[in-house]
Amino acid sequence: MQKGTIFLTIVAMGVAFLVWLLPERPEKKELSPQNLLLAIKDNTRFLSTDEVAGMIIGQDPSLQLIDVRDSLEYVKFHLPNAIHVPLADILDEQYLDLISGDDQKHVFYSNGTIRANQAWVLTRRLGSQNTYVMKGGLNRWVETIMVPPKPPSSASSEAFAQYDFRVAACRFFQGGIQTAPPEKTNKPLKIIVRKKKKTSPSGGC
Amino acid sequence: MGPLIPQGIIGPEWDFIIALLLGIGFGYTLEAAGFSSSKNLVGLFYGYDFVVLRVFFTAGATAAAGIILFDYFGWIDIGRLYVQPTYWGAAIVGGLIMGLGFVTGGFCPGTSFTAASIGKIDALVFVGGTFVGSFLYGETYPLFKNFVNSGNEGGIKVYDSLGMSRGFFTFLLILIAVGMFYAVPLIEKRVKKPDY
Repeated sequence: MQKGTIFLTIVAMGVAFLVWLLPERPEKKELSPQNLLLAIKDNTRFLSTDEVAGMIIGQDPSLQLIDVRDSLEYVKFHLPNAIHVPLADILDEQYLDLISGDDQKHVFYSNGTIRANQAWVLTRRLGSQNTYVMKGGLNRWVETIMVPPKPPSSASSEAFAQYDFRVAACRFFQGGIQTAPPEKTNKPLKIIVRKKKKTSPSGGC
Repeated sequence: MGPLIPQGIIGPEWDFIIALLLGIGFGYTLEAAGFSSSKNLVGLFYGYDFVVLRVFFTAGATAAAGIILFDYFGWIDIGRLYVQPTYWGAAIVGGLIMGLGFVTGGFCPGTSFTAASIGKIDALVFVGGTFVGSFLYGETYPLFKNFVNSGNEGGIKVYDSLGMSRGFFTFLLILIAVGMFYAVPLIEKRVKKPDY
């Protein structure tokens, strides 16, 4: 056997062992701008206030409400069990870990829709899959859940069923229909940041 | 850093320039490896010449190891490389047609151009047939449209399908390549090259 052949075999096997043993870098989940635009046009990210209320009442364990308003606004009023992540801090690593988890529905809300939408776009671009926006925000929450408008007597039975649900939800949240939004002083919930488990590289057998 | 075009480091208008340079390199390598001779090419099917296997296994193993190393050094982002989607039915039927054309004509599309460029008449006929076939396919495409576009599996990768890690699969690939480099000369010795 020629020396050259043996040398090339050794080099090839050396490279083979090297690529086997090299740790794989995790592929970035970042969404491409084109796909982000498609996702923005698609309105499946929106949850209605009724859906959110239903999930809170049903104690849906997959629901994680995220309040993206200022801390003052958060302390003044926030939805039950909502955690506080101000929009300015949304790219903070500890919050990103919290939001990028696939095990929960992360629902952003603000006073209207805009700030929650911004938070959604930022996190979606970074690859979070399970993020949603409460459509209309707290303004819509007050209009629909806190002060539900009574449908006209000619309305469909679905509209009445929805009204009944809202009245019940309203009782659940504050024990009766109010004419003005409540101004409860709630202590901000402490955010428990779960560190992502560092998975060892899955190379080799 | 890379891949350069998807990352916007160089513009997509460079596509054709890069394709031209790569094409020149590819054609040169094919010719240098003796791929412009259909006798060498079909030797793979009859067992007297395994140059095709050697060249393509070397290319595949080098590219696979190179991409993994480049990814590790941060020179290229594997996640951004375009992976051609897999269409099961179309791939199998297309592969059979391609194989049949390869063994009867003695060229694959790339090598037919290499051989045509050095003036081989059979290759010129082959290239003509490629154009006629492409034209006919284009004209009758609506008939095959549903079949061609069915069973899209997306950009699946063989190591994911096998449940292996990328590195281990490449290791096996190189191991098999090296093993073959030692094994095929034994076959070549036994099979006598027919006298054309």
